[in-house]
Amino acid sequence: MAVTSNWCRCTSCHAGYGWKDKNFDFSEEKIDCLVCHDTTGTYKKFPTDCGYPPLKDKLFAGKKLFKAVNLSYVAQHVGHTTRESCGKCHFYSGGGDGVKRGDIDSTLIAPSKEIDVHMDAKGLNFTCSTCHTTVAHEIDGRHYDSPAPGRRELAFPRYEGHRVRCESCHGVRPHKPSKKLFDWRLVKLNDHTDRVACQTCHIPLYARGKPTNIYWDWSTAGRHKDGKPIVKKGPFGRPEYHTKKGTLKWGKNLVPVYFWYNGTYSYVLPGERVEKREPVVIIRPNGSAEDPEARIFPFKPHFGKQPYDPVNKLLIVPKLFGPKGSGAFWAEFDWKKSAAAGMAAAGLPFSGQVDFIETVYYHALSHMVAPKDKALKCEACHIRQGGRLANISGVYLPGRDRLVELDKIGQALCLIALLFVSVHGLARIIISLKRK
Amino acid sequence: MRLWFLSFFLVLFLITPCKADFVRGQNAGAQIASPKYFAPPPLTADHSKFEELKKDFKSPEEVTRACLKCHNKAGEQLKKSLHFTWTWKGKDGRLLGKAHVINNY
Repeated sequence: MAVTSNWCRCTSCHAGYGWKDKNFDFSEEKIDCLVCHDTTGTYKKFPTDCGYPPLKDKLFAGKKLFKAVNLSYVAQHVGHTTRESCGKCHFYSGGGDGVKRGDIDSTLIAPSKEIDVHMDAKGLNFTCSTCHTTVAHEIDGRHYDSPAPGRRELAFPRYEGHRVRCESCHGVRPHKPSKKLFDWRLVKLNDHTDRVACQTCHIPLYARGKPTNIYWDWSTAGRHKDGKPIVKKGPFGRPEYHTKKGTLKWGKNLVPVYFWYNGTYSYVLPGERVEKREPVVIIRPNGSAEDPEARIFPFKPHFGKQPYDPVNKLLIVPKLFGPKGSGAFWAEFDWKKSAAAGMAAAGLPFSGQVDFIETVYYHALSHMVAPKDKALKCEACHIRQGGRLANISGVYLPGRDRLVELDKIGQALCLIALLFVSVHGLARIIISLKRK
Repeated sequence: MRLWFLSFFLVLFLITPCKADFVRGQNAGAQIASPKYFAPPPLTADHSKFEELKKDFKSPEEVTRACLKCHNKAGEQLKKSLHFTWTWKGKDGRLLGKAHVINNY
């Protein structure tokens, strides 16, 4: 949904303290140094305290204990960021382990080589910042409408450039024979890198660690049984119905979808008119075959059904989190009140009507690179029907595409050649026999 | 003689792609990757020795002030960072970033 009107819940993952409304004071002393630089693993922010850590032992949702943080101890043990410190927020985006991303979750704290060849705790043991190169607190990565910095080429030695791309270390012709001097199949693979991203073949499946959420229907949220909220566990031990959230579907080891992608996204923002042509793509990767920067890239699609104002044709910013009387959906379970409170906080009009609209959000998959023997084989895409790139347009994909006329001309030429060779050969045999 | 000449060029043609890969240092990842090379550099300070950090901090903001006393450029750097602002000015002037976008989770 949106941060606006839900600040204290959402900003529990903000690298700051006390963002509780739109008037947050972005001054230096509100910066949270410890959340990234803690090396003790004892610094955890409380999920509903606007970014503050608990200074006394505290229960979250009446169940989960958050121990008081010893600020002095943590402050004396600061250091480089770790997979754990980044993961405190990034592994749990979407409200739980692996929920949103599908390519990062808590298994990356100490992953096996099967899960991630680079972070393999017993092997290369990369941290997040090994690739997300950081200088003066500026962390490399894709940012909304800007692709990750650096060019698609080798970036060595270390500070000659950003090093966040696969090509930064592997170059643009990465496949090299390990034993033989020459392997034509690898040369052919290297010819793919201008149009196919590394991730496409090397992340053959996503959600390989924890299950990820693939469908979220908010329209069914709010049901109670005997006045009590319902949480019905489904496959993978994740809820398939949750009173606060609605109907949910989960998946593991999923096949991505593929699009042309130039490293940027288009967003539908709250306040921008949306026609109800379902499903509406609210977060879409940009790119096409004609775009020289675009390559074919894997994505996790996330399907949802979310509140929509059918009169103003706006996506609704709902107020979910808050006390009773604030209009918060998780306290009063009334979408109209929730929409009124949320849209007012966002400074947007609300007609008083709540409908639901199907939406899709695509996430680029770049993490959890599988071992090379798990990479996709040629026939995953170069196949007449049912290939992974069946929906990719703008390129001629051998094996998938064909021009029947051209095939016929080729076959005819082969036959003619065979005929001529036969006649010629026969003639020579006859002549040589005659000479004797 | 001509056959030798031809086959020499044929071999050269065949090995060129992989030779070129090597010369350009392609796949440096595989060539130099080792846990040692990619380990974060060792710290040059033991923070448990600093008097400023041996206090009984009453609030996390106090810790931040203590950090910024020595790391006196970190505050300015962080204030500009996406991790703190949650705001990204789009190329078309629209405000993006976590504080402004909407999703379906």
